[in-house]
Order: sequence, then structure tokens, then C-alpha cells
Amino acid sequence: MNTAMRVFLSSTAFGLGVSALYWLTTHENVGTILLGLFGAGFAFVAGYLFVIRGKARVDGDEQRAPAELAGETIGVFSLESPWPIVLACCTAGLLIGVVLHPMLAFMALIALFVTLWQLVRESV
Amino acid sequence: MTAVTAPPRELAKSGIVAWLVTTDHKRIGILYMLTSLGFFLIAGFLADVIRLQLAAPQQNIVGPAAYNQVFTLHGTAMIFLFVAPFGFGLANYLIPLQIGAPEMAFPRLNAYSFWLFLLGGLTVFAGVVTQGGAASAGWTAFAPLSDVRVSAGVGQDLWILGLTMTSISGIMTAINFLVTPIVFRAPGMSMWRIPIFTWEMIATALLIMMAFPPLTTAFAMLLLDRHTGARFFDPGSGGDPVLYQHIFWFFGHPEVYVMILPFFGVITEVVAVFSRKPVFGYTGLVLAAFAIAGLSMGVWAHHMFTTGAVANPFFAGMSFLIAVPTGIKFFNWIATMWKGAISFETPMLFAIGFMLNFLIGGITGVMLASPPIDYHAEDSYFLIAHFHYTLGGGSMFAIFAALYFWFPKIWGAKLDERLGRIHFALMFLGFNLAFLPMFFLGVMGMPRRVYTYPAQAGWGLLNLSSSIGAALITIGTAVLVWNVIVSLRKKEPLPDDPWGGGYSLEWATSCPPPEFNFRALPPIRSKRPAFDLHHPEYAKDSQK
Repeated sequence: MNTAMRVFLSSTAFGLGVSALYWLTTHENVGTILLGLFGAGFAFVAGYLFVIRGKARVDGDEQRAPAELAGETIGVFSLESPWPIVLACCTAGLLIGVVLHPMLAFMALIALFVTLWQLVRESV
Repeated sequence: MTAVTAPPRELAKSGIVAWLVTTDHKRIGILYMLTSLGFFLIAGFLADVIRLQLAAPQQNIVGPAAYNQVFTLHGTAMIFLFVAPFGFGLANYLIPLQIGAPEMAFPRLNAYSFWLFLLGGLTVFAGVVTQGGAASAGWTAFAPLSDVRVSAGVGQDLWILGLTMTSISGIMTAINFLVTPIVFRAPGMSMWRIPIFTWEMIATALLIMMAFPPLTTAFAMLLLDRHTGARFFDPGSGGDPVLYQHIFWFFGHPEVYVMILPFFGVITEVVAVFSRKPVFGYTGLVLAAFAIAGLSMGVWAHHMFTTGAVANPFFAGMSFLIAVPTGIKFFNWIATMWKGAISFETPMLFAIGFMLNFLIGGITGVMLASPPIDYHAEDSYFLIAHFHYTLGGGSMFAIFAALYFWFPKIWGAKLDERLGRIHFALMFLGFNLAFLPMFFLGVMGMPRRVYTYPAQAGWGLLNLSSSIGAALITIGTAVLVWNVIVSLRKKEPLPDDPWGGGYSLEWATSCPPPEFNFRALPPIRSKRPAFDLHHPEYAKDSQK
């Protein structure tokens, strides 16, 4: 996790550095804020990783752990679910409907909520 | 592997339904790759239509309106539906295998991403059957070309909506690419041991998460302009078309690296295996990937030098800087090959082809980063040649290298070497015959997106050369399709590592891998766990 935190921290530093360079070169506020926000976004992730650093244990960080342990703490995986494709159809219907046909959007929205509910039920 | 379990309910185990409901990362990866290759064939056909039209002056095989639709769909399909999604497919297949994980972090989200991508692509092409035809404002859909007065048809709406879907899909898939390698690594697979391809995908995922939301925003604004009279981009009502360019290119330039970083990873893997040497400068390659990703977020306005509305020196300087980490990658690939026991199987041929072509694309990119040159070359065929050398000669060649390299792992059969070499020869010759003349056409003043040209312009011979090159590329693609059919027919059992020098973990499991990837993971004590497993006599060297 420390390496991941360093990746995000260095991206933060880079973003802020570029932002400062842009301001020094152009004295233009909008771009400076945009580039600064790009660095700040990474700072949020780095901060989260810093906060959880003692609590989150990742198998991969155990440099000499036996390989047989792989997966033990990862959890349960489903190989199949009918809901992702249904959810994708609902999303497509909603987007197309909003622009081209409100009734399609309305029906897709209802179907989308039902599908999300089914996904939640399947996941717990 | 111990903690993976059966699906929560009994669904189809085989047949088409099994593919429709799958959440298995390998199947989703295959679906992504096959779909993107399907779009490649369509986009390739459209390219042939373009080249047929331009093969000689004053032709009228397609009229100007149809020509606009053809080049718009060609560019859209190649960029949004082929190159980047093929990388997503490859990453879907390989990331869990390379880090020793049984699955992606969010399998259902992964499946959702794929289906939304497919539906998005189909929505883009659905415009073809609407009254008024498909979108015709180019792959960038600049305002005012894409506004309702110029592009009134529903085809442009479907184009925007379809690409909004692919954009949402890309963001979802990036979440998986980022979380999986950080959290799901097998014991011993520290971050500094994960293969370069996976590192490149982490950098790519960060880029996607920064760059794709602005694209979705730009499209939402376009739709509001078209349907509610919002006038974000209408200068007559206080809007600004340059605003669209800013938002689009804030996505658009990082997108270029979304289309190339995964394939830098592919080339690194291929070059090391066929040079029978460890990757030279592993840390440098990782840092270079992040430097490229970071710099690419600050160069969007080099596409807008000629608007006169951007800080040219800043964006030129940042664009020049990208050449440094890219140069590091080239240096490391050459150093990896240096004094290696190089063998020239088809993946290696395509990797070398990539390096030669991408070098031309990269150097001309540095030229275009210079505003004085860009002012001359903007919107000319020089620009077309440049980005085809990076994305066609670069990414597409790397895609073929990846296809030949990982085909045995995915399908359990090696592609035929003789046909592979013919494929490479046709592609390399055809590609350079098609695109090298375009640099000269650009210098001679031929503008992009013209459907014909006068005979007295003197562009006929170079255009004919381009069209012959396109024909060779088409024949080469047909050879690849034939190779796949032939090779799958004569399938034979393969060892875990059919190339004999694979070093990342996917080469330590069967071809194709079982459900949840590994029956037993080898100890991971270095960056080359599969090599250590198959060549224990050298294991101590790679653990240094």
C-alpha cells in the first residue's frame, strides 16, 4: 500500500508543480485551477491510503509469504450474472430515450432501478 | 487458490447464454478484443472506401456528404472502438493473471463496462440507417460542425450518445484496472514486481479517470446545445466554440496515451521474452509511464495552437518534454535487446515494426509540438500521416504483436509462423506505402477531409501510392483472419509457456487458464516468477 500511496503522492506533486508552472508562464487563472485540481484529486486518494495504511493488509505486500495463501482473504467471486447486460441495456435506453423519446427513457429508468435492486440482492 | 467459490446460482455453463451472462475476466477480455477487432474490420473497410475515392483526382465514387460520414465513422471506430478497447480487453485478460489474482476486483462492473461499450459502438453506427445518415462532423465533432444547424440529423445525436456510453464504460473499467493490481496481488507480488504491462495499465487507468469525465461533460453540453438551445458553443449567443475544443482536447490528448501506454507494456513484454533477457531498466520504464501520463494531462492545447487563444510556449514546452520519458522507453527496449539471444518470431517482428513506425510518429509529433511548424502543418495530410504513424504503425502493430504473443495463452493454439511473417511483411510494406507519402502530400499543401482534388495539384501519384498501401494492409488483414482459422483448426496441446522464455505469471498456468486462473501459484520471489519456475537454475540471478 505504501507504493500505491507514493504513486498518488508523486502524481499530486506533479499536478501541483505543473499548475504552478502554468501560472508562472501564463498568469491565467482557469487553467491554473484546472491543473491544480488534477493534482488535488490524487491527493485525496493518497490521503485515504495514508489513513488506512495500518488497517489494510494486502497479500502482495508480504514479500516472502507462501503462494498457497493467495486468494484466502480476497473473497467470493461469481462467474455469471444476468444483470450486468440488463443494466447496460437500461443505461443505453435511458440515454437514448432522454434525447430521442421520453417514454423510452421513463421505462428504462424504472428497469434500471429494478436491475440495480436485483444486483444488490445478488451481491449480498 | 483456495477462497474462490461457485457462482451463487446455476446459470448456463456453455453456449451463447454463458457468454451473455459471464463475469469471468478472461471471457470479458475475449469479448472486448473480438468486438474491437470487429470494429477494426469495419473501420478498415471505411478506410478502403476513402483510399478508393482518393486514388485518383476528380473521382466521384462517394459524394462529399457520404465522404464526410465515411471518414467520421472511420476515425470514430478506430479511436473509440478499436485501439483503446483492444487494450482494455487485453488488460482484462492479463491483469489478474499477471498479479496472481483469481478475478478482477469488481466482476459485475467489468461485465457492465463491456456491454455498455458494445451498445455504445452499435449506437454510433445505428446512425447509418437513420434519415440523414450517420454523423459527419469528424471524430472530434467540433462545434459548430456538430451543432443542430449544420448536423441536423439524428445520426449526430446517436454518435454523441453512443460515445457517451463508451466513455462511461471506460471510466467503469478503469476502476477495475486501478483497484485490482493495488489490492488483489498474490503473496510475494509486491508492487515493484508486477509486470510492466500491468504498471502501464495502472497509469492508463489514472489517465482515463482524469480524462474521460470531461469528454462526457463536453457531449452533455453538445446535446444541451442541440436540443434545449443552451448555446454553450454558439458565439452568436455569447457562447464559444473554442470552449468545446478545450474540453474535448483535455480528454483528447490523454486519450492518445490511453491508446499507446498499454501497448508500450506489450512491447516491453514481447521484447524481453524474444531477447531472452530480463527487462532493462524496470524502474525507469515504470517512472517513464507515469511521467508520460502526467505530462499528457498538461498538453491538450497543443492541438489548438492555431486558434490563437492558448499559451503556445507553455503547451509547446510540455509537449516537447513528453519525448524524454518516451525516449527512455526506446532506450530501455534497445538495451533489453542488446546482446540478447534475439529470435525473430512474428510477435518480435511486429514489436520491431512498432518501434520503427512509432519513432517516425514520435519525431513528427515533436515537430508538430513546435508552433511555427504546426501553423503550417495543421489540418494538412502531414498531421494525418503523423497520427497514423503513432496509432496505426504504433498501437496497431503492437496489437498484432500482442495477438500473436498471447494467442496461445488465450486459445490454446499458436498462430502459424509462416502466415504470420507474410502478414507482417504485407502490413509493414503496406503501412509505409500508405502513410509515408502523406507527409509529402501535407508539405505540398493537401488539406485533410477533402473528398477529391484537382489533377493539376500534382497529388495524384502520392495518393495512388497511399491507396496501393491500403490495399496491401487489407490483404495482410485477410491473411491474419485466414491464419486464425487455420491455426484454430490444427490445435495441439501446448505447455504453460509455449515461447520458452515467458517471465510473468500468465506463463505459469495452462493454455488456456482454468476458472479462477491458477491451480497452484508458484512462489513469487522476483519480477520473473514464471521464468524462475521453469528455469530454477537461473532463479537466484533474477532474485538479485
